[in-house]
Amino acid sequence: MNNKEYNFLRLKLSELVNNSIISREQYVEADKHFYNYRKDKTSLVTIFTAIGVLLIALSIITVFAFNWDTIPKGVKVLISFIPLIITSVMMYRCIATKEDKISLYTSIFAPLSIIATNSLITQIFHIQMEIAEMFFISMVMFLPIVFILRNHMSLLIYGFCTIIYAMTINTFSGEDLTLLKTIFLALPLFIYNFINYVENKDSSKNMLMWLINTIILSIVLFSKEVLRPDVTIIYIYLLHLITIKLFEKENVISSVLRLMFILYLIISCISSDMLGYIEYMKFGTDTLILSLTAAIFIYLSKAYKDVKEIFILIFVLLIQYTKMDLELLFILINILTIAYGVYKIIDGNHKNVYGKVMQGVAIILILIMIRFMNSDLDFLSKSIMFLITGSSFIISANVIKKRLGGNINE
Amino acid sequence: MNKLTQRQIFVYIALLMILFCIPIYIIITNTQTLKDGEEFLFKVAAYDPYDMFRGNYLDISFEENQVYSYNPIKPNSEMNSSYYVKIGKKSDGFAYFQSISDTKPTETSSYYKTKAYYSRVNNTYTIETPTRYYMNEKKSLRAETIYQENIENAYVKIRVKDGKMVILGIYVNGILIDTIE
Repeated sequence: MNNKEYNFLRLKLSELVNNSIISREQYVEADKHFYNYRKDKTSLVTIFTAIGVLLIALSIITVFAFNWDTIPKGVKVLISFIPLIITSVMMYRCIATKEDKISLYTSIFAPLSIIATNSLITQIFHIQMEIAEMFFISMVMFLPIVFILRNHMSLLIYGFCTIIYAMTINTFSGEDLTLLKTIFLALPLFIYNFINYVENKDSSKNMLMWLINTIILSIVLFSKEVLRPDVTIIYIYLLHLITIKLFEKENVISSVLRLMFILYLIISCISSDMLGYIEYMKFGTDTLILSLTAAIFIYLSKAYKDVKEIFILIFVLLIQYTKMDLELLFILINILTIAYGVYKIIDGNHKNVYGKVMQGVAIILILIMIRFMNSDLDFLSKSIMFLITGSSFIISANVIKKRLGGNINE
Repeated sequence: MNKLTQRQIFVYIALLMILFCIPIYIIITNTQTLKDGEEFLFKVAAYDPYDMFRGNYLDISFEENQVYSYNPIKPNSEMNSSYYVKIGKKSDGFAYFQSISDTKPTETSSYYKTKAYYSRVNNTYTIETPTRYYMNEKKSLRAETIYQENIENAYVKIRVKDGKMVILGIYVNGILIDTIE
């Protein structure tokens, strides 16, 4: 049973409750029963294969980059459009078949292909464009894809790009985000929820999410001087994730803490080798607000019993306040991130919760990407590393597939 | 695979337009300047930094990047907006920024539209000029050394047309820096 079928069943069950045919307790029991039949379309094998293909594609791109000088300009321009052409073909398939799997691959591939094309073009023509500006143009190009695909993955990646953009615009350009751009960056969330609400009028969840987001945007508009816009955008996306989690079966507070932790860890990883940004993070309002929010959650929920990550979060926050050697801080944060990703994979595998495994994979993958892109390794070494990592993901996917006896949706 | 409905075809075409038009527009505007723009040589200073997405590049700064103006030509509230800067040539063949204005010059197409920052200390505008010259990572460090050794004979060749400035290359002793082994 896929998510749509499951939601349809829930809707019908709630109608039965409203008509007093079954009791509320029976509804909860039946819902639990059907929930177990829900098969996660974004299975581990699919995710592993997608990541593998992506890394091998990056490996091919870096091989081209290694020999870039010897290629004529016209051919370079043509090569730079290849990722966009692949995305267009994938988008055609998404629109024509509406397959969840293709949609997921496209959500991951499209933003990277857009960034790759823009990077190559600016490089070929020596176009004077800061990273932030290039990111913004890439996001404008990615926005229609987010609306066409309308899955959580594309929305999350858009959110992630937004955060990177907001961080880079303050760190490198020395410019503040304008109010107009802040609204633009948060816009997909509102439109996304609104469309979902209009198309599925019975869903009180979408309505509530839309309302919550509207309230958040209103706060942003009035509190521009209080919070830095980049931090505000991080909170908009964080709160959006919280509202999604609110309606899932997990303990809400635990989920919030986990999400906060993952997000903060990723930001720390990106910034840990940027001297200016560490200074910026150390005494920023974001650290203070995060610490306070964490403290309130811990006090109210006693969540530390469920969420062990909170201790690592406090540790990361504390070491950022110390006058620790920057190299040591860089190594520590990166080791912590890898350890956390590995812990998630092992724990998820042990408990048979593939969502957890996927989280672990995503954390390690993001770290690999950040470190590869921001390292001084030459393109050939990067290409080999991408190839090895990509192949290991595909091999792992095949091993899992064989172990599951071909039932990849389990 | 299903055939697309009329609405889906419309959505798909709109998507392709957005995806391809933006980079193609960037390429066309730059190619036009490269083809028809007037050529100028500017003396530059350079060093080799790194961009996380686009690899190595030479960070260049134009030696001649100031224009004298007795008073700021825009009110304080608009100080950070764009200006039009005319480029002239000195007797030694190198270029300099001749004059700055807040209106588009009509007599020539060889002007550069950019941001500029006014200093009341010496009554000058500092012109924001291109800063990045992308290079192969194998060559960029070597290029920086060559540049440092021949600092007097290094310059950047640019083309300018209708406000747009495109870099043709950095030259040391008349040889394109990318081709020096």
